[in-house]
Amino acid sequence: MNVALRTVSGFMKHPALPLLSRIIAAIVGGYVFANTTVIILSYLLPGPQYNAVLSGMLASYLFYAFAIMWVFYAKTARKAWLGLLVPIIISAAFLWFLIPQGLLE
Amino acid sequence: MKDMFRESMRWLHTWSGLVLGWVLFFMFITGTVGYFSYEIDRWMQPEAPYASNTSDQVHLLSLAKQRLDLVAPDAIYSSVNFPVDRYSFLRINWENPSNKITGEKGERGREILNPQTGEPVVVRKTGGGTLLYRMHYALHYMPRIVAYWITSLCAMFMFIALITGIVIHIRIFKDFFTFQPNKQQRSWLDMHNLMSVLPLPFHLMITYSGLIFLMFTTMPGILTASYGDDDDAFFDSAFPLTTQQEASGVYAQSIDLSTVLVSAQQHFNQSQVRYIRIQNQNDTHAQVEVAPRGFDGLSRANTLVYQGVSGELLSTPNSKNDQSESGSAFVSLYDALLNLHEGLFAPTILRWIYFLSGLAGAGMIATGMILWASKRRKKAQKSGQVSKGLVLVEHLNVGTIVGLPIAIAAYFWANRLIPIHLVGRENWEINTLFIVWAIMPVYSFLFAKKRPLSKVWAEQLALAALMYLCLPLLNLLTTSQHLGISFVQGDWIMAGFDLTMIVLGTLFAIAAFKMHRQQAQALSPTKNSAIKPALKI
Repeated sequence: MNVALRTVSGFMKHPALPLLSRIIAAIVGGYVFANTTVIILSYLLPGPQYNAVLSGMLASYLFYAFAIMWVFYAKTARKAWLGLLVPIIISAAFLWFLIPQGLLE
Repeated sequence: MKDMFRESMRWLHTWSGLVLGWVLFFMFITGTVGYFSYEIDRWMQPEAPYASNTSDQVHLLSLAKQRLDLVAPDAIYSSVNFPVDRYSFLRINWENPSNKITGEKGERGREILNPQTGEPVVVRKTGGGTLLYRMHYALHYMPRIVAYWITSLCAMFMFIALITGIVIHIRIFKDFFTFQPNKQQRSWLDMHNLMSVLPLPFHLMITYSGLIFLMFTTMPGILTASYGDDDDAFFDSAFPLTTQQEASGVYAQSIDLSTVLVSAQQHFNQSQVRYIRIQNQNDTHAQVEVAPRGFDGLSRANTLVYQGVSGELLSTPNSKNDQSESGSAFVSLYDALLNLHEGLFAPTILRWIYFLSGLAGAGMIATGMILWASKRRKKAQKSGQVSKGLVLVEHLNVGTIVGLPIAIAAYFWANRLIPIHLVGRENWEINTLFIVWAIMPVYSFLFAKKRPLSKVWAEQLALAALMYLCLPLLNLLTTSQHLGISFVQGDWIMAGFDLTMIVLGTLFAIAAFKMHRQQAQALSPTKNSAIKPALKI
């Protein structure tokens, strides 16, 4: 148990950890960010629904790229995550609360 | 602040370019080769006799029809593809009716016919250029969907490397005019910039449209968020297709196809069409479709559809066009991106520009990876410490940048050398490619102690030169479609392949020679000045 704890705490202090954290933030976090923002966009864009969805999908990789660049620009890994999670949580909340009530569409 | 942004982007550029660089190199090379996939298909099936682009199609149709009546008299679907433009075969396809009791789909068949006699030609089984091209997004030895995710991830890395590359090289256009060859690391950098900047619009287009190609696989959530499980509703409204008419089940003699062909030829004002196909043959709901040559902007020109019993014209080439115009700008953008990526519309010269741009893309990746290694090698020489990562990258570089072209040449060699009747020969062709590719970095690594890396480069470049230069020779020895014959026949696709191999081989030979000379100079720096004037004479 003690050994396991020590390995975990040793791992948490490993110098490569912030980098690993950023890489996960970029690939996974960036993907979620791109999806949530584009979904909001596809609800808000005027015009026929298929059009909004298609335009969102076409632009989604730009959002993804933007997020990845942000992650590696941020001063610390913590800030990088924060910068992704805040918009993700806001969009997700927006989606979960507003969409089922039929306030959009 | 601004510097920090650039610094972080430089880091991202370096690593996003390197980490999956070898897969990206593979994708760029095989994708680029794909711009000539039909031509390679033809070279890899040399049994098919030369089919002239100018033959009388009504006659070809009657030959094809005779064969179809013999092999598939009850077919519900059959088509005849003519040898036009880049396509060199007279080919028939058919589908037999489905089993009425089990509901099982009917048997499908395809044959290449001799355009003189109408007899079927037995061609060797091969993946051809089509497989080579398909691997740039579907890879090999793995389920398609897994490959789609991997290639999309690679494309995303490429996209990031491109954007960050632009960001850190804002001065890039100035750099472009200060090309300094023969200065080792500096000239690798210049070459990297040259191959990145000049075709930059191509690189951005090809990478982004590559992502778009697979977006329904990699970004499914966006679609689901609006349409739930009802994907079809989206596709029906965004990409409406003219629905195919179901068979009525009532017999009616179908119209003679040659009548339709002649009528379509007149309508298109072309003596050559691409194909003619018939659905629901010998049914009251039969339909005949004829495809013209040529393009309407970036997409294929629209086909003509005839009622298959009366021969009445059901759609004019313009009717489908109006439909897409009433569609959205984003549908057009989507179509345009995919069409630009595939470049099917490109006539010969533009096709070569596509090819060269693709090679420049591969070259951009290659020089970037060489640059990564050469910078670190320089530092390692100063500090005397060589990291394992550097050694790995160095061997992967030579084993992929030269090794993959060698492996592709080996694929062509395998096509000529593997016995024609061997079961599963088409699999062995492609296995050869991957086995040879795997050998190259391993060989370089195993002999690392005995010979410097620059020598391995020179050796592998020489091997590549030899393998490409000998391909036309191999073709001469193993088939009756060698350069001497293809020239006389005017079979430019066959001849073009052989000639391209000679050019490629020559380029590899020049590179090998340069590398060899450079290495000789590096080993004896004192003789350096003595050699140079001697060579000038």
